[in-house]
Amino acid sequence: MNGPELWNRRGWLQWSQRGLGATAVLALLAQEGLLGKASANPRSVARPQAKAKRAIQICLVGGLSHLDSFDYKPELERLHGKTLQTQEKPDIFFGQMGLLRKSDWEFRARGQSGLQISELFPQIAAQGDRLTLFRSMVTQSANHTPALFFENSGFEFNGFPSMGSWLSYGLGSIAQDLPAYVVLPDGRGGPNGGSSNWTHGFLPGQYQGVVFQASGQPVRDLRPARALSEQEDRDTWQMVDLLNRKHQAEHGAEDLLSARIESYALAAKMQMSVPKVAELEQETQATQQRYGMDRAETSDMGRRCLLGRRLLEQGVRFVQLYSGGPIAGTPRTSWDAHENVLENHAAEARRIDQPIAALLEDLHARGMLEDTLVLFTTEFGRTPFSQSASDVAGPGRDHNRYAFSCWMAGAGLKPGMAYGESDDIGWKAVSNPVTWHDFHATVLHLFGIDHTELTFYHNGIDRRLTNVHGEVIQGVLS
Amino acid sequence: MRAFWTVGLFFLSRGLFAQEAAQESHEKFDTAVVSLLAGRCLECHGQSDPAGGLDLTSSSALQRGSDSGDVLGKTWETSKLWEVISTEQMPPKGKLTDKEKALLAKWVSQGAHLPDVPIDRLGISSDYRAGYDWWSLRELGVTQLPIALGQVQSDIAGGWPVRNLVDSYVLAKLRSSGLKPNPGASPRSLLRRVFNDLTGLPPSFEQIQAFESDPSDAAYASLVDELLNSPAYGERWARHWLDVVRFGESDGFERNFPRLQSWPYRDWVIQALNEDMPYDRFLQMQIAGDQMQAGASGIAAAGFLVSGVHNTVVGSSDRMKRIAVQDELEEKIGTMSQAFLGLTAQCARCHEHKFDPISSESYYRLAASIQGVSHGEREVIDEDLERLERGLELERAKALTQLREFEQGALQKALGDSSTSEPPASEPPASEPSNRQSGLQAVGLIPLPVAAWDFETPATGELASGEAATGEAATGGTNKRIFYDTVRGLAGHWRRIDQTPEAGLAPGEHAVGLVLDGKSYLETDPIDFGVQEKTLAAWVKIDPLDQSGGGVLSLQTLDGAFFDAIVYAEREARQWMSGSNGFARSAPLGGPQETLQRVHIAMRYRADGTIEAFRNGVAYGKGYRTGLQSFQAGKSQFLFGLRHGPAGGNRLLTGVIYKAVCFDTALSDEAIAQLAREPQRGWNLQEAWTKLGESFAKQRQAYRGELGRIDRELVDVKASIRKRIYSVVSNASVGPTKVLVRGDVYQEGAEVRSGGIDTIGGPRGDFGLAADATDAQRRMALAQWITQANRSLLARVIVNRVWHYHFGVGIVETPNDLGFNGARPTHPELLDALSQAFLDGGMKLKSLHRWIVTSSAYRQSSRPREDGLSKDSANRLVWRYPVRRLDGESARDAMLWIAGVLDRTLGGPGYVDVDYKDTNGTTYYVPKAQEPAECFRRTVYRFNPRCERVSMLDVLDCPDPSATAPKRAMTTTPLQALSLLNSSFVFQMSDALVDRMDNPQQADATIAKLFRSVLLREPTDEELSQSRALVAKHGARALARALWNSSEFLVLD
Repeated sequence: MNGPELWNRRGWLQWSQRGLGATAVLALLAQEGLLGKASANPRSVARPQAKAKRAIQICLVGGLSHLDSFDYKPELERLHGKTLQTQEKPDIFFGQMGLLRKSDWEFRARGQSGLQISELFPQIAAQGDRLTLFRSMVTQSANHTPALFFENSGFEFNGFPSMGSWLSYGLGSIAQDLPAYVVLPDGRGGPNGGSSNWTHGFLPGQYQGVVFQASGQPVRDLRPARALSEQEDRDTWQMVDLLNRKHQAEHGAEDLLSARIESYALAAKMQMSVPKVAELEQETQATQQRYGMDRAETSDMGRRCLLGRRLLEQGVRFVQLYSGGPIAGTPRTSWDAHENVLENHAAEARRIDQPIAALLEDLHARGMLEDTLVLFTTEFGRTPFSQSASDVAGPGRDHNRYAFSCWMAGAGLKPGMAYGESDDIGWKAVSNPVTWHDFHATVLHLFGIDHTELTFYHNGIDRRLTNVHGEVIQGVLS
Repeated sequence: MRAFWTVGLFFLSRGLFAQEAAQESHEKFDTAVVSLLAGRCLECHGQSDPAGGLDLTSSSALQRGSDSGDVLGKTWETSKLWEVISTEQMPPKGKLTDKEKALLAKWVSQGAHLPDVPIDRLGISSDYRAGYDWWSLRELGVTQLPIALGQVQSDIAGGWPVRNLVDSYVLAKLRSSGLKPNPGASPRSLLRRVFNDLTGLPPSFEQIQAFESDPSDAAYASLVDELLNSPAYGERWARHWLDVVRFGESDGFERNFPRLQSWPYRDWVIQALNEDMPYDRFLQMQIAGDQMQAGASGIAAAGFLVSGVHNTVVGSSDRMKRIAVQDELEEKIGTMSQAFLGLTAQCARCHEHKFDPISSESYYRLAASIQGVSHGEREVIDEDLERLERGLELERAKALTQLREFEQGALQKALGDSSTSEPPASEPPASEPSNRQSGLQAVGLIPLPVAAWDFETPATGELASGEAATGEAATGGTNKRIFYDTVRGLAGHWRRIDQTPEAGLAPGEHAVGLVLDGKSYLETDPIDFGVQEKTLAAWVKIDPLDQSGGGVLSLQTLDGAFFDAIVYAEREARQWMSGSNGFARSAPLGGPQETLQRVHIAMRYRADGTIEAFRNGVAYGKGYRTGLQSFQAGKSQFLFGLRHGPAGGNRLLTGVIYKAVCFDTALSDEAIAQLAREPQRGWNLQEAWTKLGESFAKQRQAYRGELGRIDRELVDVKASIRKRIYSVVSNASVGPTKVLVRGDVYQEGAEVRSGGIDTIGGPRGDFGLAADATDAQRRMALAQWITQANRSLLARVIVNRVWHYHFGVGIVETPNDLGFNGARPTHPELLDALSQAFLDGGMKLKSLHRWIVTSSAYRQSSRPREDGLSKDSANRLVWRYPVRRLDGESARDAMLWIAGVLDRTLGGPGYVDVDYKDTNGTTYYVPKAQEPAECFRRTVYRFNPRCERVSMLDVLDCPDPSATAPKRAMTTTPLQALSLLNSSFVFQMSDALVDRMDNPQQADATIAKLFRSVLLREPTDEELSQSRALVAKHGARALARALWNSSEFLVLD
């Protein structure tokens, strides 16, 4: 009476919805030959042409200035100190429009591709040929938290599942003994909105991003909160198993009871695999140095990039790293350079440039870049005019939702190219504007998922990561 | 055929369905055509601005053709109309099925007849969308019971009586599907189930035994009543409702500020459910409670509207501000319409609802109805309590006068007696005038103090607390010492600011006074009397003389924010000063520098704000006039040796305090002089009291008891008179509301007035209010409309919701959506019958619970059966009771309850299991590493900000309160296993449970007790032997930890 023979399709779905963190809904359906669009929910279909198996996203919190990094605007040099001729009342955050301001960094053509990238990120720039730049990103809010939520979930509000959650919902984890979606916040603190940024929202709880902590236990409750002997712990687990098996035997085919027993077995595996994957000391000295773990300013990001690579290697589906902690405060601990772009961005970039470059190199060297997606994103860009009195070209820039830059690298992409353009001064996207919905649709596509079909019914509607929008950006696909 | 159009027009345009029609087949055909046109064509080819100029809503419009001319042609085959259909140009998205195409072919070939009066596209449901006739919008259709009550399905073990209408419909459906229900569940299973369902707490082993010995219907019914009447019922079902209304206690978004005053809404829900408030009133109060009922509870109820997220950082641009306003309206409308009406009205913000008959106008009418609502705290003065307070103040004054007169009288005698050093204490108080006279002289002008301490006299000092002093173990080298005052027995607690051992506390040293070493002080419990004008006095030794800032006697608010104190040398070396918060009422007195080591110091605080000091009975320096600080009962306390809290810095005194006293009057110069002169007389009442003997003591105790009772009541009353409640704040004026075309904040369409959805039946959608109607008028009208518009729908939604929580899944699987996109009911007749009964019974939820939990369907076993699993594995037909895991709150509450540490305090501010701090305007919440004992309350009382929770609640699927959560996921994950095994809470509960029952000498007995407590049964022999081994090796705690992790504890069957 026990076992899967009694579980029809419905049973599978129910089991998987309340099933294990490591359970891939699609994989289960595929095993059973049950893939189809009919009434199943979720009803995404894994496509054979999936290019990416896993992804790592680096989220720059606060708003990276595209004008000082990836979007070269010679016209701004010419117009430096002039007024932006416009009747428009632009939708920026503080509303102060100073004079136009040129980049604080020198731009240079990089590698074979000749992509223009500034000296803000010298080491990432050196790998320009590996990057696929998006220079025409646009978003809906010039306000940090809604914009960050939008970047993560396609909605500006609390409570919508993040991209990582959708991916784990659709694809599950590759490894059984590690979570599908791992989050590594900046050592200086979580971003505004905290765990709402990696929430499962209305998807079942196992699709939430699991935070790996920098200190203490890497995953909460991984080990007992009390000091006790290994023996006691083992004996207690055994007692639990005994009680639960006996109970299950009395009850017959009850998938909930079987799932509970299995969850303890997987938990035991996690107890082994999590500390193992977090042992960065296993890496060679050279690798640790390459990631910048030996220097104070790069060690936080360096550790996290290296941990990220190890997690991906061990089968985690989606790793999300944050660069930047809480938004407000002095000095700033994010990219929110209202006061002084030169000072702020230089300091922030020093923390991440080398580690990210090392990650790209390392993934490439291990052949992982073939089927791994690296995403480098920020919630919006910054204004071409300074945030200052109207007759001053001050050192800071306000939020710009009309144009900004992000990049991807790796699986299934055309490397060494830039997609889309902003206008001559980088104020607004003018050619091939890319929305977050487009960006998300493209990521899902690279994973072999049609974004219109990865859905979950919630409060009246089959919800998607892309709401009712989103176009896959064909121009960047290899 | 034309006859139908006449009838049809009526229902299509009015949303009412004709029950009969003459030409049934014609009608069927016409209905099918209209339904198809409505579903697939009229969205574009409707009356207003039809695509290509082609309007398909009426006969005459069709005759007019499109922009490019006639569409009907000479013959139907050659008509443009048929051409675009047959060549699949139309509809542009989503092909027609062959059947649909055939239907249209027939229609066109018969002349493409349409009614004369335009078809209302929303009038009829189709395969593509819901119309006014959608199943959930129709009137309840109550059918005859399919199986008579009292019938017994005899081929099921133990019989399966049709106990009520629930059983009748469930059994009928099962029979028609070739299934049987399960026999009754075991008494243990049933009790666990119904206790959890109704109260969220488990039964005890003893309750199960009792029910096993009498599992009769009557016994069960009375148990059910007991559960429904227990306050735990409201706590349990409030949690469900709080899910649905997305009740969270922080703003969300960037700042995510905590809302510390929104708990009254939660308490209101609990109370309303416990009172079994009629459901329609329950809803009305949540929209307009502040207008319907004066005082705190009405305002608390309206907290519903503002318990969602609220963005407080919207930026400076006009666009962002406008969008934020509209987003917030959508959030409220969406929650309200889903929670109350099972409709997703929020979908009509940008366009007409794609699937349900809700127009954009309706959406913006709803918006206009709540547009006057803002978020904020309201101060509420409870008028009843205020009256009560005034009464109590009068009572108090009377009781105080009585006591004082009584004491004064007795005292005069006693002191008179002592002055003649005559009669023994046992003698009854004499009443000769001469004695009274001498008493008066002896007392002088000193009135009764409100508190007095004599640290020199063991009988009135520390030794009075002998039990407390000896009973407690020393911690960190510091004795737990308590000193009582001699007037009221106010307790003073000895504190040290570090862990160093007591300096030189030799046995008997207490006799010399209160010895302070600069690291210790004494603080009393909160005083139960208020003090305004006052005199503080103390006999003290300052040693060494060169020290600075120490307080001798201080009266302060509990947080140390306000204080008046006798302070030594804080600003002028060796000079006395009246210390105060931030020197607000402090000024140099200009008195001489202290030279003596042992002095009497008094500070007098007059009602007019004058402060003067006296040293050894004579004026010290010069007084000054400032303000008078009053100290409230329950919120103030005395300190000795500490200027004010928190302890630290230069606030601590080194020296010895011998005696101290506080009067709630400004003493006369003479009285102060006498006080200094005769430290043993007059104010040291204890001595006098002792002399007056037993009967006096008894009488005095009675007076004091009465005063104490009033004071305690006053403290409670005062604490509750003024409340701040996070709730609706009405905007002063409410601007006009315009439809926003495509939801674009810059594309304003027609103006609409406050109203409801006009297409779901009932009263008209426009409330008939003026354009400048107040927020109060709008919400009152909305509250009426929402509970009157379509009572069938209203009842179906809540009946289905309640069913959902009892059976794990609703009759309609989507409790927030009874529209087109939602699920269809598995038992529509049952849903209607229950809804009708619910309406007929006055919308009482407790009756609904009773019908459900007393049914055989509810009481059946959860055993899986092969035939059931193969035919209906999801158990939608209820052939068994569903097996379910405890939800997060139930698991936590059950552990606290079983471990014997659950604090059952009802209501009030929530417990806080997160540390939170404001970082530059952003609030971060971090779950505490371990729950302190004050968190051991029911989880519904958890302060519930929008953030991460303690791990156990998180992994057990407690929903994030960002949006309405009509259903919870039920996941089983490795992280859940880890949390249940390893979190600090589980260890705490194991300790508490074992502490209650462990007897290391009798392992078997302990094991049996643990099984009975957690699993509500005896262990089997096998379990006993396994447990013995575990307990022998690792103690009973290991077994407790294992039991918390057992499926048997966590899963209801």
